[in-house]
Amino acid sequence: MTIREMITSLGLNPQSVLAVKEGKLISNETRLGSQGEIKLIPVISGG
Amino acid sequence: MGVHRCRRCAADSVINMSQHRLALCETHFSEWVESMTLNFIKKHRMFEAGHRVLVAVSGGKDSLSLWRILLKLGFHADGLYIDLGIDEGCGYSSRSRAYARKFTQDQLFQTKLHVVDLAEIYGKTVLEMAACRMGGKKKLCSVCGLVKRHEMNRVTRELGYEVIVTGHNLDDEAAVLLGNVLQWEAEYLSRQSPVLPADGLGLVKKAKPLARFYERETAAYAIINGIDYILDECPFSLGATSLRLKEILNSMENSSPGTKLRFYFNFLRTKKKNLFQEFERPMLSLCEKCGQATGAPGLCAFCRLL
Repeated sequence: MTIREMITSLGLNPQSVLAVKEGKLISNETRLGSQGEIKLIPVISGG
Repeated sequence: MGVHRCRRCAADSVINMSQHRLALCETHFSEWVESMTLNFIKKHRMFEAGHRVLVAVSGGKDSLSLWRILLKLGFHADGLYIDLGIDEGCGYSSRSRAYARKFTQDQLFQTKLHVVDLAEIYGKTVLEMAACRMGGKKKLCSVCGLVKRHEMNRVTRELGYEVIVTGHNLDDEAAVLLGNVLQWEAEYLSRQSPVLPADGLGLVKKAKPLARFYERETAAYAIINGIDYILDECPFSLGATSLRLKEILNSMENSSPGTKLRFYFNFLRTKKKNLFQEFERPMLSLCEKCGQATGAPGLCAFCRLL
């Protein structure tokens, strides 16, 4: 599964989040490994 | 298909911008953002090298990214933080102010942060200013906008900066555009622009150098360049119309990459072909108290809040 597929499966829009691993931005095309932690940072601000 | 290669080198890309068909690594993405910002500034004649630029910062990703980009490009850019006093129970203003302050400590560039503390200067927070006006939460946001615009203009003039810039991105502009189109607010549509010139009555030049970037791109720039910013939203922004409009646009963008870009830039191109008539600006006078331009004689809307 790629990051993009994971984001979509969570009901989120890939336009509205960025994926970060160990403090580094990673592409949505990255395949998820069996270990490690991915942080999804919301990018939309408003009001 | 795995991770795309960076268009400019062999490294793995960290961001793929479908609307541009462009995938870039960290280094080339930062360079691209900085270069595109400079092009946008020049195209819209926002300001020039040697001008003193004041950056309105909120402690958020867009304004802090903008500040960094301008410093990296060699502009004389200082920050302005307006402490609205939104702190009860959440410490929002205190925390966002701390992020703005931290930015100046983290940067290698020479810069300074001006802070306007509403409670200190005027004896009231923005909540207290809004309390004397009826209308609930919607009025609070409207008062907040009025206060920020007033103070941004005042400080820019008093400290002699040529222009004040804000971190509004393309998602912000497209959401405003969509909102104005849905209501057919022709006057607002005629005035929406990445740059608003100064006028003879003391309204300073205002510009939005990041208006060509998606919000995702300004966030990526902040993350890549280690800019610490406040993630929390203003506690009063919950349910804001702008967020709903952004959601709608992002849903369209997801199925048709480039929708937001085309919507905003084709609007700007079409405006140049006089799609909207020029609206006559109301006669402005100077506020009796603060001397800033106002649409009605006597006190301006800001001074009436005090």
